[in-house]
Amino acid sequence: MADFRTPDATRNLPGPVALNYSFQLIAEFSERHVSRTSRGGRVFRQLRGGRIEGPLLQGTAYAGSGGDYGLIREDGVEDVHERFMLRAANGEWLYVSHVGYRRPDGYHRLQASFDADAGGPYAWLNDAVMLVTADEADARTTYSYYQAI
Amino acid sequence: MIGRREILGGAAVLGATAWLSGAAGAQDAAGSDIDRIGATRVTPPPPGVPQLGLRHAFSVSIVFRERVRIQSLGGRVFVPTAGGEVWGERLQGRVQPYSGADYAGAHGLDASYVIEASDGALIYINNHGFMKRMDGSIAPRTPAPPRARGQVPDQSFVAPPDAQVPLRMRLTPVFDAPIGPHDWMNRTVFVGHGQRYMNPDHTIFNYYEVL
Repeated sequence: MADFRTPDATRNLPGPVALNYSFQLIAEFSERHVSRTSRGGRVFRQLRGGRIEGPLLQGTAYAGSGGDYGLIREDGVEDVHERFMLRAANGEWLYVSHVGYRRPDGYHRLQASFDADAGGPYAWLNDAVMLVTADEADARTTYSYYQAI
Repeated sequence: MIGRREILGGAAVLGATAWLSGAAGAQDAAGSDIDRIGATRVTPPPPGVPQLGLRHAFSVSIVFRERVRIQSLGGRVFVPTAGGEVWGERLQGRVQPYSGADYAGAHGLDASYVIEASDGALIYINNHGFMKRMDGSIAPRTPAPPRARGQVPDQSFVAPPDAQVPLRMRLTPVFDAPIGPHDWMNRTVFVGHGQRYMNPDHTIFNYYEVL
């Protein structure tokens, strides 16, 4: 790498990332089951339903379509791994997947990715980088989605 | 036409002051991508919706010397990292030469490689994301000629001139760091920003902690 140097002009150039508030999912879950496995504590928490509100998406979360399958690690942090299905207000199916961290100190942040029909009104979700803050209160988790633009 | 001041004003509602000061100070011959895109309207959350903040953590440069494309359904590529540097507030070091590659396919960028921190720790990164031309243009791509019987085609390609068009590259990296001074990376959600450069073919990534 002796012949490559990062150009000095870019050294102090944090690229701007803006966050665009997109929508909120208020989801209901079953109780959290944790199985002790050789990988750690495997979580299962079934999605029981929910509603989506906000400027860019309205609809519902489809009960029984999935849930949280995360892994609780030795340090007590859960590697969140959620997937389930949504129905947009026009009846269209959307797939959503969440990965991120749920920490004992209350930090609960996720990256979300979506699959929507190309050519439909939600196709923009397919290449959206979404950041999520999650707030858990018993069976209800409220997810707030921000698109990184 | 929305000016930069309004963009930043809207974003300031999110309370990400640390990265805003960086964005406001951005000076670059190529221009930042938001400047080049022009109008980027940011919707602040309504009252009562939890907010997110971003804080610049570190930057990574990666230089590319070869690119290979396999004409599969997803159009898988192999773009190995020849090396690079890591600098910034929370991590310094280098990219281990040929420790991995971007294996982008139908679902966008998918890169894995290894960072060697200045204390010698090896940190794995798995990076997903997308790169989108914002002017509606499509990167020029020579169609694969019909394959002659018994012949292996040339699968190498050169970087499209993406550095010269308005481009938006956003990334969701996941890091695995050894237990020790870098293990905060194992419990922090990140978002990344990428900017392409030519001569030599390289990309500068800026990584932000999601607060």
